[in-house]
Amino acid sequence: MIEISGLYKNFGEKRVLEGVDLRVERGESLVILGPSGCGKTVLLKLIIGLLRPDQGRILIEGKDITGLSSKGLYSLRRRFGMVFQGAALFDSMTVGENVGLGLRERGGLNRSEIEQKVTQALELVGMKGMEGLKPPELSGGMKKRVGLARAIAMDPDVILYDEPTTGLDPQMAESINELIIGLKRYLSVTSVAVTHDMGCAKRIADRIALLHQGKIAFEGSPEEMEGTENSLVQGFVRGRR
Amino acid sequence: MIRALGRGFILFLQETGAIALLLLRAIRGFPRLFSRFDSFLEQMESVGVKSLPLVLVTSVFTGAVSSVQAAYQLKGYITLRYLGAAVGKAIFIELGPVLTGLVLAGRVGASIAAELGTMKVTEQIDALESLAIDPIRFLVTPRFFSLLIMLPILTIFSDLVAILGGLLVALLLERVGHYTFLEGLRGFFQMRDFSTGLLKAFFFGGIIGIIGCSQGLGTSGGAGGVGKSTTKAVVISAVLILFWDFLIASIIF
Repeated sequence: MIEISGLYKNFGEKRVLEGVDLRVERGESLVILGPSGCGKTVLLKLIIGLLRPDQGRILIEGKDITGLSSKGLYSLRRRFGMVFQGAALFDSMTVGENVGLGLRERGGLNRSEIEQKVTQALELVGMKGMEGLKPPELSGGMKKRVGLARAIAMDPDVILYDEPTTGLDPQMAESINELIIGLKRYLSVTSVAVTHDMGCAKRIADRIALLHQGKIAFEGSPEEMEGTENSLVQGFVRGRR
Repeated sequence: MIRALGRGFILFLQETGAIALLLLRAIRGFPRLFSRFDSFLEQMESVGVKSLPLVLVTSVFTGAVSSVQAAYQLKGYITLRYLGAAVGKAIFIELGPVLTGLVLAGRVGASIAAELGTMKVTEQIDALESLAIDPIRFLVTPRFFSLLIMLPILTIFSDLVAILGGLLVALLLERVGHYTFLEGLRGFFQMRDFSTGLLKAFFFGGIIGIIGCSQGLGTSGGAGGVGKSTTKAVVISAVLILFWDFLIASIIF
């Protein structure tokens, strides 16, 4: 579904990605693991076209998106949902308005249909009845749930998660992990998550890719990752466990 | 030295180009303004109605001080019958639009830059893009057009209240009767003075809107970055307001 080849990205003098090659199959849950600041979020933003690569190709179902115009990118993004690290909820809007904004702006649905979709999305993430609250009234975990509801309300084919459990207590992190697994089963979506949380990766991934020094240093199932003798992988697994 | 100057010039051209592009994209979003009319009205309220008290307070004192200054300069040379004319000319052509522009640059320009800057550093702008919403049409266009409309309207209020301030000073301090003051004002009033002031206000509104938005959307680096963008938005807007004031005055008069 997503095929990345020879992807490079620099910010000024700083090299972030140095030839990333990666495939994501339809319906799978891929976790990109790596230490903080290694370029995981940059990779996610390149996939959804929020950043442009310096070199390389990103194919979404065979179509290269790196040369798309901004109009083309907007139509591509309708197939994606993204959950941001800090949730990135719109402070001036209520929870319901946050979740319904994308639907309202996309058009094609009347007000009651949008309200219905908002209620459904909030119910799926366990936030039913919270439509009237404002983001500052929510805890970190609740914000992540609303961010997730905002993404799934758009019926995406792919959901991108940026550090879904960062900054949450272990109990809340586990409930988010369960939510991600549940949504994948229920909605049959493709998921790509980036995280440095080994526990989260093992819990939600069908396949894990380790990003190290701008390249994918390892790819495999969570079990293969546990069993590998690759010292880099073992160092990361042990260090983060 | 030459290299540093060259680098500065290139940076200036880049920033100017980016602002011009933003302006074009904001204008192109005009037709979509009506599909989000509620948000446009909200912006007009935030920019205009909520700025009114500050504009009125500034204006009444501006009118008062211009009356004091004009009386000081006229005394001994020209009769104070012309006080209303002097105050009116100064307010309609210059003080009304320029001071309203500068007040709005501080109040609204800074607030737009801070709001959009915070949205940028907390990834809310990226979130809009991820929902396939163009942040320029969604955020910049309503702010830009509400300033274009509201600044001339605020300037009309400013003109009226400043004249009132000038009249009060004339009555209470200079012993010039209200009939004499208003007769002087009416006798020398030219529609061109008033409309030039409104034309200036229209341009100042555009400057405040586009500079506030461009600085906000260009923010990077967390809370410190938001602070820098806010300061830059006010400084650049103020300088451009004064520059355009000169430009329009030298073209029209």
